Amino acid sequence: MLNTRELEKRWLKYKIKTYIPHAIIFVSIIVIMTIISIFATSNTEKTPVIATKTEKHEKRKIVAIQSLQKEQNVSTQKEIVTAPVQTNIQQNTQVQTTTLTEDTKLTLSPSMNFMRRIQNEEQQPYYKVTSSVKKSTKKRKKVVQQATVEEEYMDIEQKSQVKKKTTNKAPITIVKKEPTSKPYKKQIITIERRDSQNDIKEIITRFKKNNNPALSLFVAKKYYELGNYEQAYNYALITNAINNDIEDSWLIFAKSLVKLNKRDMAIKTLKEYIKYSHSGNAKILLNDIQSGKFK
Amino acid sequence: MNSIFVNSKNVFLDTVNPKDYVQLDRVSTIYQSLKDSIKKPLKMILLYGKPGTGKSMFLTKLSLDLADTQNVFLYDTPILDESEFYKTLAQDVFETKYAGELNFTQFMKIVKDKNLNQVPVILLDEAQLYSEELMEKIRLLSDTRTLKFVIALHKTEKEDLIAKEHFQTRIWETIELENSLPTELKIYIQKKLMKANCFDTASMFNSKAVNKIYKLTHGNYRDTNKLLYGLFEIYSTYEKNNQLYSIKTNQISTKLIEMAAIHTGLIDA
Ligand SMILES: Nc1ncnc2c1ncn2[C@@H]1O[C@H](COP(=O)(O)OP(=O)(O)OP(=O)(O)O)[C@@H](O)[C@H]1O
Ligand SMILES: [Mg+2]
Repeated sequence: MLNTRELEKRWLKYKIKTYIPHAIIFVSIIVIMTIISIFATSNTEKTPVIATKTEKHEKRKIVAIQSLQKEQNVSTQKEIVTAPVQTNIQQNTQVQTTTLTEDTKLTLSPSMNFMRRIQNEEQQPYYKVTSSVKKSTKKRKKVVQQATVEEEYMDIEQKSQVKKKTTNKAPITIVKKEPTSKPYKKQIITIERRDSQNDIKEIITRFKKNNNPALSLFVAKKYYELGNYEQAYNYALITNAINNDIEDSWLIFAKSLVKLNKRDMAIKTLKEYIKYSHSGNAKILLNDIQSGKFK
Repeated sequence: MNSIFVNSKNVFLDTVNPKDYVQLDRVSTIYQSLKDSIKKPLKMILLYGKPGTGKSMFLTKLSLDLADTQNVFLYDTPILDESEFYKTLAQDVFETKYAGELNFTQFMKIVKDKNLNQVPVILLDEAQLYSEELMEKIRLLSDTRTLKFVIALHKTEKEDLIAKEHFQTRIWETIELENSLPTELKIYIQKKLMKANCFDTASMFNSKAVNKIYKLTHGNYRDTNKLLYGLFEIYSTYEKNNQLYSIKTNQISTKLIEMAAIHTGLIDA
C-alpha cells in the first residue's frame, strides 16, 4: 500500500527545496532595491544640506562681526535647519556636514565676493556629483528590469557581429539579428562562433605554412559545421588536391556539393570515389543523398 | 465495480502488447516506410533509438501486421549462443530439426537448399546484445537474399553505429525512433486511456498537465508509463482512503504529478 501521507511530506520538502533558490533571489533583490533606494534618497537629501550650509557660512560671517551671544542663537537655528535632514539620513550625512563645515572654516576670509565664488565653486561640483550618482543608481535599477537586460545583450551581440565582419573576409551568414525572447542564449552562441572563427583563421595560417592536409580538412569540416558550404567545398577540394585518399574529405566535399544544390555532381563524385575506394561511409552517404534522406 | 483510477493505472503497465499500440502520426509514417523497405530486395533494416522509445512495441506491431501476408519471426530476447541461434532459425523458418550442434556453414547450406518461395522476415529485438561475430554472420545471411533481417537496438551515437564495420556496407535502411513531442504525448496518453474505456480520466489531461509530464519524462514512453502508473496509484489510494475530496479530480493535479515523480524516482527528493 502506498503511503500518501509520507509522500505528501516528501513532496512538501521537495517544494520547499525548490523554492529556496527563488526565495534567495527574491530576498536579495529586495535587499538590493532597498540599498539602492536608500542611496537615492540620501542623494536627494544632499541638496538641502548644501542649502543649510550656505546659510551657515553667511551666518558665520555675521558671527565674526557680532557678539558671542548671538552666535549661540545661530547655532540653535542651525540645529533647527538640520533636524529634518538628520531624521532621514542618519549618521552618514551628519558626518559630511561636520567635515564640510571644517573645510569652510579654512577658506573663511573677509571678502564677501571671494566667499560667494567659493560657495559657487563648492556648489557646482556638488550638484554634479549628486546628479551623476543618481544616474548610476537609475542604471542599476534598470539592470534589474528584464527589458533593458535584453537591450544590453542585443548590443553585445551586434558588437560581436561587427567584430566578426572586420576580422573575417569569408562571407559568413550565421546569426541573423532577429527579435528573440532568449537573448542570453544567443549571446553564448555568438561567442562560440567567434571562437571557431578565430580557430579557423589560426589553422588557415598554420596550413599555409606547412600544407598539411589534416589542417585543411579540419578547416573544411569547421566551415561545414558553420554552414559556410562554399568554403567547406573549397577546403575539401584543396585537401583532395594534396591527398586524394582521405575519406572524410570526400564526404565533406560531397555533402557541401549537396548543400550548394549540386546534388548530381555530389552523386557523381561519390560514385567515382566509391569505385576505387569501396568506402562504406561513402556508400551510406550516397544512398542517403539518393534517397533524399540527406538534403 | 472497479475503480476508474485502478483501471487507468493498469493502462500504463510497462508491457509490450500490440493490442495497446497507439497510432501516432510521426510513428505511422516511419512504420509505413519500414513496411515499404521490407518489400525491397537485399536490405537489412536497422531500427534504433534510446531505451523506451517504443522499438519493441514497433517490432511487435510489425510482426503482427506482416503475419497475414508473410512469414515473420520475432525474437524479442536475443539468442546469444551461436549454434542455438542457427538451430532456432532452422526449426522456425525452415522447419528443420537439428539435434546436435549447428555451425554457420551447415546452416548456410540449409538456407541455400531450401527453396522458399517467399523471403521470410526475421525481427531481432535487443540486438545490441548480439556479439560482433554473430552480427557478422547475420550480415552474411542477409546477403544470400533468402532471409531478411530487421534489427532493433539501443541507440548509442549514430556516428558510432556507422563506424562499426558490420553496419557499414550492408545496412542500407536505418530508422530512428525518438521520444515523443509534447503534442504527441497528449495524444498518446489520451488514446491509451480511451482504448481502455477510461474516458473520464482521459479528459483530465489538459495541456498544462501534459507539459508538466513532458518536463519530467522528456516524452519518453517508458518514463511516461512509469510516471502515470504512479500517478493513478496515488489517485486510487486517495480514493480508497475516502480522501478524494481533498484533491482536484476535474483535472490532473500538478501536485500529484510531482508526488508521482518523487514516488517513481523521476524527481529525487
Ligand atoms: N506507439 C505506442 N503505442 C502504445 N504504447 C507504446 C507505443 N510506443 C511505446 N509504447 C509503450 O512504451 C513502453 C516502452 O516501449 P518499448 O518497450 O517498445 O521501448 P524500447 O524502445 O523497446 O526500449 P528498450 O530499448 O529498453 O528495449 C512500452 O511499455 C509500450 O507500452
Ligand atoms: Mg525493447
